[in-house]
Amino acid sequence: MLVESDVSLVTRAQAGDSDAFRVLVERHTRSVFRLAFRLTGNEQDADEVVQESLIKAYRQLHRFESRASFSTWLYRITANCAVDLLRSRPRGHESLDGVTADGEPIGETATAATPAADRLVFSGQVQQHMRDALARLSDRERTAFLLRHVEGLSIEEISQQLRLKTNATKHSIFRAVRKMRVALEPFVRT
Amino acid sequence: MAHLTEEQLLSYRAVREGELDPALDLGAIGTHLAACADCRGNLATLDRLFAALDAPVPEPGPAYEREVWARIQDRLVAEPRGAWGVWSLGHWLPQLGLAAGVILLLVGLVWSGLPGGRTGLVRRSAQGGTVVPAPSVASMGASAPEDQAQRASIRSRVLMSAVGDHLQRAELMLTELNNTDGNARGTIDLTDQQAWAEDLINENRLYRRSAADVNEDQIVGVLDDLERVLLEVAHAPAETTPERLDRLRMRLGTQDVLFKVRVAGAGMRDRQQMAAMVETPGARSLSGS
Repeated sequence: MLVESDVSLVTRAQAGDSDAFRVLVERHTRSVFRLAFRLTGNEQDADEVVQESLIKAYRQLHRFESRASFSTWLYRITANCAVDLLRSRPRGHESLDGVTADGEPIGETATAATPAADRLVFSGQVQQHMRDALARLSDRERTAFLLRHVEGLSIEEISQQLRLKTNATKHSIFRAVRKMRVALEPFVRT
Repeated sequence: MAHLTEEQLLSYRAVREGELDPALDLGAIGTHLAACADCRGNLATLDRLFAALDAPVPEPGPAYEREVWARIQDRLVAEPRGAWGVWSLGHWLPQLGLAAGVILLLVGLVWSGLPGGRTGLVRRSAQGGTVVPAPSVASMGASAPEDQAQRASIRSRVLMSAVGDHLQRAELMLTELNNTDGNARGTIDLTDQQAWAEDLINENRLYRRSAADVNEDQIVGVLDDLERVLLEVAHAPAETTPERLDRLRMRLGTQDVLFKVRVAGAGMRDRQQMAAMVETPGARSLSGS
């Protein structure tokens, strides 16, 4: 059986076919959840982001241009929804400035508590700071970075999906990596 | 050889992970890495950064997609917007508002010219800008001064009502634009405000023309200012930064325009109330006329 393309489904959905949008939801919800989980760090928040993203996509469907990839467009909306959710949450005792409420550098506190660097990298604390660092990236940097290093797309594929020149895509990814490395250096530095 | 750049290290990782990059001189990079502890440290830092991204993600249950659809389905109907709001009230409300305004204006204008059986649209004299009846109406002997005054009054009330509603909607849109958080980090999504602005632009043009036809210069000025803001907002990037949004608001003077819209809207409501009082028998007796 021939599988209907995203472009065709979007066109039908834009014309008012709710079944077409349901198929798009069923097709992309799982990957949206994976991204949302990586950005929020827990299932409940990820689920909330999934729902908000799909509703937002629905509301903005008339703005979607078929030249772009629907999955990338949805991916971008999801990343923005996750960032909005993270920003709306009151922060814990750690600030975004890299110091604890007690004024100590985050890395020093964490390192003292758990000397095993490998375990530290995977700790929830590092994940939290990674999400903060992702949230600070520009929209383009974040999308390009996630498409490259989470979804594993090539530079050419990302350029095509984001409608950027190859060099611009590379620069966005490198800028994103640099910013994230600086933000996470206390944790990931050997 | 100088230390390896981040770009070289990332490319090196890409090759190591199986994605070939023929332009890369792997031999030189490998040699340098073998000899340089700093660069090995930088590479390890990147490895750990990406390892953090690879943290395991729980797999939702097999029915997750259907569950999500069931949960959002009602909200899609309750919050229609965009494409298939075409069958929903939400999609049509702005158009209905505009259509109602047009109909209201046309009915008012036609009604004001009923004695001659023609539209009775008024014309501005070339000399003084005063409102005079159309010759077709005057020639039929049905344009006594009282009739003219009555028509002008009806026209004015219709316009006041329609423009008053329009200004109220514009006030809400401008208030939301001015209150959009300018302190949040990162980007701001202006999609909703832009859709709102687009909806208001056509109405605004219609009312501006109507107001100009009856010499409501003050209203024309406010609607001119409003149209400038609506157009800029509608054509601004959908995603912006708090700094850019602040600059846009400063450049457009959205606070000033909001103030003018509020004052004009209040003026419309006052005039409507005054007109209603003057034209109702009770009001006449109260005013002693």
